[in-house]
Amino acid sequence: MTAPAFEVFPYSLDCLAKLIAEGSHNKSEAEVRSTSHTQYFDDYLKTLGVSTLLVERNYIDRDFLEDYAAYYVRCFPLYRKTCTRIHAFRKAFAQEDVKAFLSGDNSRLDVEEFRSAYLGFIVVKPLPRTVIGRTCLTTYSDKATRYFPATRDFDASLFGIKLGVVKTLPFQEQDNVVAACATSALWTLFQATAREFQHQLLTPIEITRAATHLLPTESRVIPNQGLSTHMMAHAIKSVSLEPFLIRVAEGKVLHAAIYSYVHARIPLILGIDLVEQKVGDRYERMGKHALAIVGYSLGALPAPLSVSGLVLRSSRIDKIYVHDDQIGPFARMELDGNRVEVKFPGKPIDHYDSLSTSWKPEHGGSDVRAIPDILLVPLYHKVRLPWDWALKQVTEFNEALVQFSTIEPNLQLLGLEWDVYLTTVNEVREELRNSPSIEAETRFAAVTRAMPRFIWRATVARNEIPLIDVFFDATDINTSHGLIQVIFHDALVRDFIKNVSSVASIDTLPFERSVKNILHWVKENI
Amino acid sequence: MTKPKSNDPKEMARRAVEWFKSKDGQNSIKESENRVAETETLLAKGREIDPAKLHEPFTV
Repeated sequence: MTAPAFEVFPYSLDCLAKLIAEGSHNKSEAEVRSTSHTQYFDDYLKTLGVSTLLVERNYIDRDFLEDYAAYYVRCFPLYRKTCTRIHAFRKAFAQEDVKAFLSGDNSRLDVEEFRSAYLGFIVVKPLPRTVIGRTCLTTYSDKATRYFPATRDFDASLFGIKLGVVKTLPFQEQDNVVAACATSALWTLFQATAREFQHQLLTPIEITRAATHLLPTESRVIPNQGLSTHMMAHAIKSVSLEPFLIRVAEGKVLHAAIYSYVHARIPLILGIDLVEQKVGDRYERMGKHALAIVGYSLGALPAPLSVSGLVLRSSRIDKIYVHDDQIGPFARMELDGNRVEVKFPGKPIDHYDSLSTSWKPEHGGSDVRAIPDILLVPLYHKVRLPWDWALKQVTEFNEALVQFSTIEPNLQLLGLEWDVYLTTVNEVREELRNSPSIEAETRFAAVTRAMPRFIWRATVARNEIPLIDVFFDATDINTSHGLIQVIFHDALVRDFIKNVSSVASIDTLPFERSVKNILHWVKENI
Repeated sequence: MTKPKSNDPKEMARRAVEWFKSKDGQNSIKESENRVAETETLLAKGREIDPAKLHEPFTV
């Protein structure tokens, strides 16, 4: 007997496991229940407040169909080409209500309520083991410190009913055949950057092919055993973006780099070494793993970047949210400041900055942590000046403010916090237009000033109240000053700096060139 | 009794510029330059890519 096109069930872990098993290729319910994905989804869906699941059978998933056409269709066992899609709702309703609605009877289902209760979906692939396909689930409920800038609006429909918009970023598990962990992480990245920078949306098989088009030459790439950093960079170039690689072994560098780009809605690849606690406090390497960073939490107290006392807003990051294809979407990793003792093969024992993970120990250990290694940033080609260039300008200007406050304490320019991130001209104009602390005339001039598409914005604040905004051209060349404009929110600071720029010849003052550029700009424009 | 300092921005700016020319000011600037250099060293760690690692596959 053919299974119905859709069915509705009250939510339970048993039901979820049954539906995933049914959608797979002969995977038992017991096997499904024992996977970390099922445990993770159960916790996640319960946190979202799910009460009803609707299973949609014979669902055509574009990503799986491409993988199917490229590989599975030629396998000797008969794999289905259609998937199963499990929709989640926070409202209780019955199968008969949906059936009546689809038959033209609108009296049993309040469709607006139905849509507003929608939480997203999980696609189940008809494969034997790795079954979690394209998954779009809404993020954790709002909390003041959680930020998911890289998420976008994704919609879904069921037999013509528009189910609603989910703010998310798609997730899927590697299948170990056409895709490895790095492929899944890249696939998530491209779901965001394709919309942000208008490029082709690649499926997992297309990503693996793009990454390995030239490398390696000595062995086959499908079934895929894993991509290297070099291969991931190739895949990013294949969609006309520029890969920008940052080493993040130093925890403070990790904080600042993540914040600079994720704030601009660009998800990042984080390359880590997973390490498992073995003897005493000693950890040993499990292997290299790649994840997609899609959000962060700013729950920590701000701390200085270095002896300079420069305090960045990014130092408040206490957690990052990642799509870890072996765990689930929006998995939490804590930047708890723990340094761990690790014995890497061929290297002496050393201590490393680490992050917590949701991984379970696999070899009898008691804890699994992540040692951050690299960040790979997919950038539009015009974003030329990097995060460390912007932070250098800010460091030098902050030191000038410290000097001013040393001689003139009334300026209160010590212990300020800098918010430094990449942004776009449209966002800058929108935010300036709605900034009450800027005088109307200044606001008009700032909004209408010619500006490039990509901008590094540095806002310094005292007790969360903005004092100065400095805008740099992210598309400029690194030998230029890149300064676009400076906006003061505080009249005393503005008048003081304007007077410093006029009572002496700026070029004779003992400041770095970037500070002199700001003083010149102020002298000429304010 | 010491005369209170004026909060006139022009006066404040004059005092600051004078101070930068003084010995104390010069010393303070030197310390500031050292702090900037230390921060730049920290940021430069982001550029210390190990070329050998670029070819290690992510396999977990």
